[in-house]
Amino acid sequence: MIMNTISFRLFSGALVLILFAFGCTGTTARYKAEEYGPRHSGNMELALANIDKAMGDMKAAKMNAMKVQKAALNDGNKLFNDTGLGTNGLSCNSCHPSGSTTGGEAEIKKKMGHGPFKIPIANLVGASARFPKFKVPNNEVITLATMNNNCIRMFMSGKRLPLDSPESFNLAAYVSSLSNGDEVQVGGNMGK
Amino acid sequence: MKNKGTILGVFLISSFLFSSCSMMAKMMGMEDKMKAMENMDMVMAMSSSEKMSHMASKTSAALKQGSALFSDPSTGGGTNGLSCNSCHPGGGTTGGEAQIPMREYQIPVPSLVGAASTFPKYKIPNNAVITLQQMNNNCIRMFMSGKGLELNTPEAWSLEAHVASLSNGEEVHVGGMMSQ
Repeated sequence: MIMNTISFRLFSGALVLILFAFGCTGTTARYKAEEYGPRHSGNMELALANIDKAMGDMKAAKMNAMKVQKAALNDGNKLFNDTGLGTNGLSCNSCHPSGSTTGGEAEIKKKMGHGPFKIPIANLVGASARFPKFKVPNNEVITLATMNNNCIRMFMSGKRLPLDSPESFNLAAYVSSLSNGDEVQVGGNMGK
Repeated sequence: MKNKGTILGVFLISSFLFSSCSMMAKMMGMEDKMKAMENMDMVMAMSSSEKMSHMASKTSAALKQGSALFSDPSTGGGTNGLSCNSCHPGGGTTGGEAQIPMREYQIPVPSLVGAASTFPKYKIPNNAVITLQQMNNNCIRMFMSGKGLELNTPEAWSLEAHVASLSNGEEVHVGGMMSQ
């Protein structure tokens, strides 16, 4: 019987190992690529070309800087109101109208023995001035860009923005601008 | 003999299902979502004083790690013997200039005290508004000949925390002079 031959057993054993290895490494690689995205400033040639251009005309470079800064804040504001970052119809603005709070609580449903959790919705005005900050879900001190991704994943059922993408930069810029004029205190009262 | 074949078949199919399920879970990022819920349960189970001291010790550990990375020439894979601290002693500035690699340009080394309060900010090499984390990587790549820190890691977070803490007490003004 074919089922009983040594070569068949070896073959099926190897198949299982290959499938398992694919399950581990193949997906890890893909997961990482999604996580880190294209290396925005890793391209030294592009960086040097940008520097050359700016050095060639400093006045134009300054105008461009102001234009891009303004556009980034506008884009961040748009992203803040964009339900497309998630899949459940919510945007950042749904819980944080104009950057503040509805005053309510956000709920995380019970899953595989954990939760449920009810979390008071924070006011984002002044919030970024305390970042990087310890956050319970990560059990680490995290940056604002990662905190934005926490919210997108937990409350908007979306995928995290790659941390070196213009979307991540611009959303962080907008949320940070809600703290304009506030005093920086990294870690908040935990950093004292 | 038929039994053995069936068992083998079931084993094969279930291992395939198992590996494809774990694949799906990873792709959807379920893994660290579950980790997040575990962490929340862990902290919820603490008394409020335990919770406060856990948060405080994590925060001071991150700032300490960030400060160590700031002075370490191997941070982000740096290869030329320089650390952040070589140009920014104690977070300040040597007052000198840094040379852009493969170019003649000399740029003044800025003090980092107060710098973080203007981020995210437009930066010429990226021709974009970038986060402080990305700016740290700019420096590692340009002036320490390193690869940069993987973003979304405790190292990248804690280096940002240390650099941001150099602006404690300063007023946030995103974009700085670029946003007048």
